[in-house]
Amino acid sequence: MAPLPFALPFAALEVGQHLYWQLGHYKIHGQVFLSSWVVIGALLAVVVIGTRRMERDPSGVQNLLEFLWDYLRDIAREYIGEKAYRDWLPFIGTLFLFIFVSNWGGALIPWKLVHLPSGELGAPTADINTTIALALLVSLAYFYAGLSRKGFRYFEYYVEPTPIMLPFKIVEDFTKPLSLSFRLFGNILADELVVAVLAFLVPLVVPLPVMFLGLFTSAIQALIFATLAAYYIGEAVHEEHH
Amino acid sequence: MDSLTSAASVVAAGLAVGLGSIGPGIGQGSASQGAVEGIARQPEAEGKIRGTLLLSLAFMESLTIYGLVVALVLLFANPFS
Amino acid sequence: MTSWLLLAEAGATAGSPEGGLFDLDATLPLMALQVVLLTFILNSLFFRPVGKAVEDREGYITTSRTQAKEQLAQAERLEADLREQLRGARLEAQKVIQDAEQDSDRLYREAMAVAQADAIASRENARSKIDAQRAEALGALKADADRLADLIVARLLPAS
Repeated sequence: MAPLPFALPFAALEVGQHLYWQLGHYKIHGQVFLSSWVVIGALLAVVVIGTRRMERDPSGVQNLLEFLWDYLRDIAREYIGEKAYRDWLPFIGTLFLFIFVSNWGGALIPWKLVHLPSGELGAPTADINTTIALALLVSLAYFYAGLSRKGFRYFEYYVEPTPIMLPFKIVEDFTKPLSLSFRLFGNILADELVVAVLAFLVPLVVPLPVMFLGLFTSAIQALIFATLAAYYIGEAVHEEHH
Repeated sequence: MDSLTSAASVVAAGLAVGLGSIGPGIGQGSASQGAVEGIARQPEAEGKIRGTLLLSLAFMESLTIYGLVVALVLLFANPFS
Repeated sequence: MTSWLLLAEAGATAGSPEGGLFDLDATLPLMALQVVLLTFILNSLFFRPVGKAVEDREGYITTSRTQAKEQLAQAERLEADLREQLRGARLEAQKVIQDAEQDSDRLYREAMAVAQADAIASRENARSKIDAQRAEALGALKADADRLADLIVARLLPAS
């Protein structure tokens, strides 16, 4: 199995290689943090610019921010419910914004111009650590939401229609973060890989439609992650009508 | 990694993606059919139908993605190598 | 495909012993911490101020809407009032016109009657005068005729 003889300089595939930083006894993936800082910086910059001068007649970036706020509020209100959505809007909104900007940043920013000693920059959400972190946060969030709102009555939810559901609901608690994280990770990584493979085969023009499809999928994945997080939290805080 | 394991891994990866996309493909088709019928019957509900359709399509898509993840595990993080 | 496998293999063997696609390490908790921090920062920088702005505007719109509605109702009330007044004034004007017409009619008729009475009176007067004169003249004529007849008789009788 020899490497391809016509190795092109601008389209090499690197999968599963990381830039390791040593942090005490632990190792972390440097490239993920670098790109996530870029993403967070961009987010904060837009937010700070947009909220610097709030006016009653919005203009410029404030319009965008208010549109986003409205959109996220609609998601949170629809899935969490009128009573509790205010507490969880920042969490849902941050998940959506972080994932969305990460996905689009991974697709739109020419990361290849930055050379790292090992690994390559890309969407932070294309790393399994990030997506599992986000999914575990969602799990913690819905447990916290249910317990803080209902106390130990939250566990009635596990036997809600019938006690037969108990094992399924317990298994669900594990499959929820699993499917959340792997869905996001798989989609983003698949997008990057498909684009990379196409660019590897035909470097010009041909990858463009796939890139646009990737942008679309990325946006939908961010929406789905936020929607599902809101749905899980809403399920946890939902009061049964006895 | 001996050649037999890598050959089996590559075949299994192909099967994982290929077989894993059959079911979601059928499901997405029937979901889209239902959505299009719904829009044809009730064009004013198009926005709501489209939102729901996209969401459910993404759920089915994620099933395919699980197959892809398995394929990626076999290719890049093979536990048997 | 072969080159991927090779690359993965190379990454796994050539470099550090770790690596690969599913490499879980301290990135996970740190990233979770980072996202939680981002949530709090965005909450104070984005969600709260923007939410406040949007809700303030919604409140402003609601109050100005109710104000505008009140003003509209007031304007409509005023308009109805004015219309009522206008109709009253129009009715009054019509009545005044009618009255004036009746008045002038009456005056005309009165003046007409007076004039007619005057005319009739003066005509009667004239006629009675004429009658008197005629009677006087007739009397005079009769006296003359009598005198003449007497004269004629006197002239003719002596001759016989």
